Amino acid sequence: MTDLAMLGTVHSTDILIVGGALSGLTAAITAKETDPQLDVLIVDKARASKGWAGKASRTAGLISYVSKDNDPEDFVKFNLNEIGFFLNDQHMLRDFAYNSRRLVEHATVWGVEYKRDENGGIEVAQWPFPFVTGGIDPDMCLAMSAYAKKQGVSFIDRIVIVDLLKDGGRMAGACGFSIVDGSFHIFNAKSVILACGSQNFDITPIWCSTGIGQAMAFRAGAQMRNAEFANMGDFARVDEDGKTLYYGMHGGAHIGHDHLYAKGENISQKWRPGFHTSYDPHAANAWYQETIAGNGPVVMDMNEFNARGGGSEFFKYHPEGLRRYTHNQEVAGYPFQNQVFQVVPGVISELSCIRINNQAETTIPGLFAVGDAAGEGSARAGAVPTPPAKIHGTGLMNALFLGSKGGPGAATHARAILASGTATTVDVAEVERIREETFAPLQRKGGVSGREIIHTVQEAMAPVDYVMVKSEARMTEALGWVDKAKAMLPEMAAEDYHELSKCVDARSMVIGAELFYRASLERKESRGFHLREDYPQTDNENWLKWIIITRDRDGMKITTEPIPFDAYDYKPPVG
Amino acid sequence: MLKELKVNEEACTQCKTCTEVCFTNVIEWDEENQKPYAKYPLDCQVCCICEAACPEKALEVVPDWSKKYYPSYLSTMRGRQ
Repeated sequence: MTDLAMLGTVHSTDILIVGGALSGLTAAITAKETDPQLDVLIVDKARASKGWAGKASRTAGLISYVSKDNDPEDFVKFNLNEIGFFLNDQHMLRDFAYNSRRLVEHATVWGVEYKRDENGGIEVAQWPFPFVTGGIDPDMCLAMSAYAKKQGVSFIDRIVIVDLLKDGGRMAGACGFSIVDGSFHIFNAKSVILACGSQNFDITPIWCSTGIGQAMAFRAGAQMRNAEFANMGDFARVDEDGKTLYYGMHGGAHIGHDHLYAKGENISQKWRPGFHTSYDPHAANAWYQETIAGNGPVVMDMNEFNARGGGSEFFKYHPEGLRRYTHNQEVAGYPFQNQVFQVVPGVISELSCIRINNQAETTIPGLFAVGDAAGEGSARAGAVPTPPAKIHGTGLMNALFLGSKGGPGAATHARAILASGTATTVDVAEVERIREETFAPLQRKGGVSGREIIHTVQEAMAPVDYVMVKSEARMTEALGWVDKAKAMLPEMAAEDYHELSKCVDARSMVIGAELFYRASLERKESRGFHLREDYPQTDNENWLKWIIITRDRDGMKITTEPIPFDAYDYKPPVG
Repeated sequence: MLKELKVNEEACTQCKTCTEVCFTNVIEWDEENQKPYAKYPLDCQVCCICEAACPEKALEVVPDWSKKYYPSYLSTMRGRQ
């Protein structure tokens, strides 16, 4: 019989955290705050031990929360009526409303710094609803990583986790390989926390998370929830020759979505009246409808944008955020201010559909998911990609919030397993199978690279009329691309360990894309970010339900679950 | 995404910080020439943290916006443009 140690290096820990950026570090630190005696180990593809990991610290450094001057109940009501459209887990939403400010302040204990006013308070910009945005040190992970180490958290860098391990029905650990030397590592753990980001399908710069957490949790049998709301996006600027496109924080098109013009008419106001805090598929739809009506090209007027306060609202409190933001555009050769330029909508995606409860525990005992890995799955924000894409600065807050749930949750679970005296063992044959499957692409000659498969998935996940403005016919077409990518998986080949990690990403993206389209086809209405041309109305009679997807052998089983309004304070409007 | 990682070899002190900070593991160390190089330029996100973190400011990221992960038509509508 094969011994586990013959298959790779075996590590034992009480809590294993996959991913060491903001949510993973928050989970690690709060686990230690809950029980300092527990062993906590962070593994990361980059260098979390030094604070260099994840995309949290590559953002503009904005953090949004419910301030002392905001009424938490007003925030809850605003979210239910304007963002989540009553698909929210109201317990979690209220928890967030009442605790986000406490968390922001508590993080200063971990070394996180904020832009402060002369009285020492955190400087914030107040939105026209009960939420504020402040400036957080974009290098917060450096301080938190150092603090975590001081509390006894261990790190192993440059490991790609490929699969979770179970002991019967509960979590038992995970395994993966080093992208430096290809060594295989087996982690035996009582609790596992997935903190490895969302699924962005690698479409746009910075948003390059590859959804390994969602894919691993799905393969392990965990429930997925709200996958149909993963269609985060932005407008991309088209350059002078009409070809080169780029998105988001590099594009100068970010947050100017209320100022789209076609043939001199403000089509943002025509299709999506009012003030909006962010891009959503209705803004993409304005572009889409005008373009197919022959009214293109669509331009974005940044003069108008800036005249109304525009970018300065977001950055006046945070010069470093503005510096990074504008620097990226200067690098690209497109300054931010006062221009009119052609745009097209683009997809960022933010698939984060691992279902979790109020302790960030998935439906598998001992498996937790935090930050971008489980935003939608938490249902905190409802019918939108989470962190709620409708408000800037919510990504970092979501990482802090869910991380602070998962850490104590995982600690409590690990402590209970310890107290029960039950051993947590991993199945050697299963580890052997995973190891063989993981390294198989290195043995193949002349196969398909992970990048080619990723590109095929992008054919399904980048077009705006597949992802943003949905219809059954177009989504079925998109699934054809997903099937094509899936058929290529057995032929994956890689030349080195870095490219092998692309094979892991490719496999995860195929699962993620299918989750998105299966859920989107199932929801036969429009709600929040889910916009269907063939079902344009919101249908409260039939669709105040969560769509749940679980693994069914090699397929996907789809069920629905009514929102438990009996347990909630706020009921949806009738009709 | 990365056209070129320019290295000012006179300024570079070979501290290797740039190989540490890249969150997509683009930059590796060229042992033969004792300088950093972009081994996986397609994975560069143009976050420019390598530039910012270099104590000697010896790096310059030259992005290649024409070489995306995807062809440009993908970001618009399929079959209509």
